[in-house]
Amino acid sequence: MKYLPLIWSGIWRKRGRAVLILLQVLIAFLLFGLLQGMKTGIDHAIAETRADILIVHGRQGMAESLPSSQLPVIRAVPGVKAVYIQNYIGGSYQKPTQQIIADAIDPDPEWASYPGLVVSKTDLAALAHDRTGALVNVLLMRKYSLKVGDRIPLKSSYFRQRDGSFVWNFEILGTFAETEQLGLDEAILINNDYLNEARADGKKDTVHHYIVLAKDPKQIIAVAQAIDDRFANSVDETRTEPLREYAQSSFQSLGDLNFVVRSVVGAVFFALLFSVGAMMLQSLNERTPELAVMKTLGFSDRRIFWIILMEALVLCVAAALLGLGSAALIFPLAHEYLRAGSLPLIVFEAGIGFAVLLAVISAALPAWRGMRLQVAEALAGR
Amino acid sequence: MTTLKQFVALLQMNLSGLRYRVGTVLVTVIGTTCVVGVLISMLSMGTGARAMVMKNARDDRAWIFSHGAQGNWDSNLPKNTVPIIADMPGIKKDADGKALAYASVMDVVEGRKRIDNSRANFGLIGVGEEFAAVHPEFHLTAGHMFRPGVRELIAGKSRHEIFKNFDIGDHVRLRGNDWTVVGHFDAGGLFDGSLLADAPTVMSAFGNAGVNTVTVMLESGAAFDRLQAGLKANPSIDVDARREFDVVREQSKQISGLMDFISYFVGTIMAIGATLGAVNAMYAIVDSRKRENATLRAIGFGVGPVILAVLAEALVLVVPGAVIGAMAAWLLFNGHVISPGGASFALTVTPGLAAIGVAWAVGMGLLGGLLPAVRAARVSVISALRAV
Repeated sequence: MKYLPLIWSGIWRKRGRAVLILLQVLIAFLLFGLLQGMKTGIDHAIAETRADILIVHGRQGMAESLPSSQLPVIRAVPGVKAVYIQNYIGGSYQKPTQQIIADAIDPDPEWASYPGLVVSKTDLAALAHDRTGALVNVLLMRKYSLKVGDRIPLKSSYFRQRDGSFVWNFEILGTFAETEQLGLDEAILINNDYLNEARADGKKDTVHHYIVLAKDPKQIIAVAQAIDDRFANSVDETRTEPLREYAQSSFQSLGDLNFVVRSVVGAVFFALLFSVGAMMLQSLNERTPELAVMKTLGFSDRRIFWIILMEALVLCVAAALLGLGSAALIFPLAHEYLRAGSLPLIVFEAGIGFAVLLAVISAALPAWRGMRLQVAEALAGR
Repeated sequence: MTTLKQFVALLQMNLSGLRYRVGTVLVTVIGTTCVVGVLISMLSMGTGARAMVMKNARDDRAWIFSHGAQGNWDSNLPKNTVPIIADMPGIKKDADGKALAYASVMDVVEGRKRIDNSRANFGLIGVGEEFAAVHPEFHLTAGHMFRPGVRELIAGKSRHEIFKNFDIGDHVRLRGNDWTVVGHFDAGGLFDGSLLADAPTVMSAFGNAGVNTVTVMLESGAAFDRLQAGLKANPSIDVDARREFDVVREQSKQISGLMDFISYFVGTIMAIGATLGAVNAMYAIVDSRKRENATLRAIGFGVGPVILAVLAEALVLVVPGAVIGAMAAWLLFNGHVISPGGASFALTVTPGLAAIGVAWAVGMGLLGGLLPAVRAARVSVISALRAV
């Protein structure tokens, strides 16, 4: 500890250089924090997906629709607590860039207890009563300055009503909010009866998928199997899978994110290793006489080695902390794209680990040289 | 003239000194190599995606969407509009006088990748009988064409290469029925990531009430205006016609635009870091020449040549880095096929990308060299020489 002032003054021996190297390390760790944070954030989001939710979709994937006649059959499967139907239509509000998803549901009071969703039974009852009503995400209410009683016309290019119109009109009856990521940021909830009656795409009496809440998360695989068995060899074979597995495979299909993150971070650290290493060597060369004086005063070789190593360590870890801190500040801003709240702690820990590694590898050679320094030779150079 | 002479002399002197500073030189070269290598590798994704879809896009082919549709997935045309559209002026006719127009209907199916059994969705496109005539670039590479009215399908090149169970003779279970893979095709880009089958068969199997789009071959690129006028004049249909070129460009912009944004974002942050490294290296180099610089200034060398020579020296350090980076990207990734989601394309490192990489490096070199160059020029002659 008593060598701290010595280490400190060693770092700031040339202020310009120290600031530059500090910034360079900082930026590398900022990038590391953002990329790794995104990757880890996605992994966390998957791991945090509730374990008692199943998703039932067509055997050939999410693009198929299933007949709504399957609802009572699924409900009757042992171990099933509740079943929710899901349909969608997409459309634009006011201008083509403002896309809103209308999530068509069975306005069952059951939705009030759907995990992660905050919606009142009164609003659900109002939706059940008024077929062209809609419950709007509070975020969307704010975004477009809407209030209850307003009308929202959605212009779809795909979903046509039976009267030929592409415009779907909804009256805002109430609101809902999410406490978990349900993907309903830009969504309104509408009454499926209305969609079912009015749609003209030949998909009357179908649903996009079912969501099943299991009584016991441990029994979830058995429940899934039981549901699929009910519809085996029918025209509408189902595939039931835990929501977590589903989330995982959707992210997996995006491509090998891991590889991209690893390559970029690898390249950044590789370049950084040389920068920090060269900086340390340079600083050592300039200080050769000083080190010789320190040795003359009785500093042991090993102590010199540690002091040089500590300089790199303090610099790298401090810069890494600043970089990771900036990443943590920026990270929530990217929330809209990344769907991951704050920078995961593990990224900090891994970052500090990398910083230590970076310092040790890049300072090893300079520290070794400092240790082996011969006093007579070093002073002779003066 | 003297300025130029001074500049050349200074640059020669500067460069000859570099061999004594191998470490500093390496830092700059390696830093630039990493930045340019990563930037070009990432940009090659967007370039590859664009190149694949644009390859066979034509000016004399047009796509007809329902009004306001952003693309084929959210376009929906009633079946009875198809013959009306095929009757429009400007559309090329075949030898029998039939219009070169076909309707397509798009459904989505799921496949599992050979490599890791992961799932991805892609299109099963039901097409009308004029499909092959409208797409002369389409040809079968194996097997035979699907037959109308039978549950047969043909798979695009990249489907059976990347996904399991699309070999000829394989059965694919869709909507409770078995479909047989009877052929493989190469359509030179746009359709290669899809399965193709007979439109009426797909519509009855998947329960589609309408079709997504109609594609037509025009008499010429100029005939588009006549088609457009004809469509607008008919009040019974509400559709948008777009040239294939524009459709494809618009669609590829959505994918590759995002990829390009991410590439430039990562590339910029990396470049800032590497530029700081270059500044440091150049400062070290300039400082080591303090005496020489002061001497030269004392014997009458101008400020301009000194600054220019340092900047040129910085460029000499970064440009090789950029070239190595571009070459590494090309060697490692050019032609490497990736398939994010259901799409599939080869990464493409073009000379244009290499030029972007070099331009990026030149920017880094100039920014990184500027402050050190100014310091070199402003060195106080007296104090620098006093230090001797």
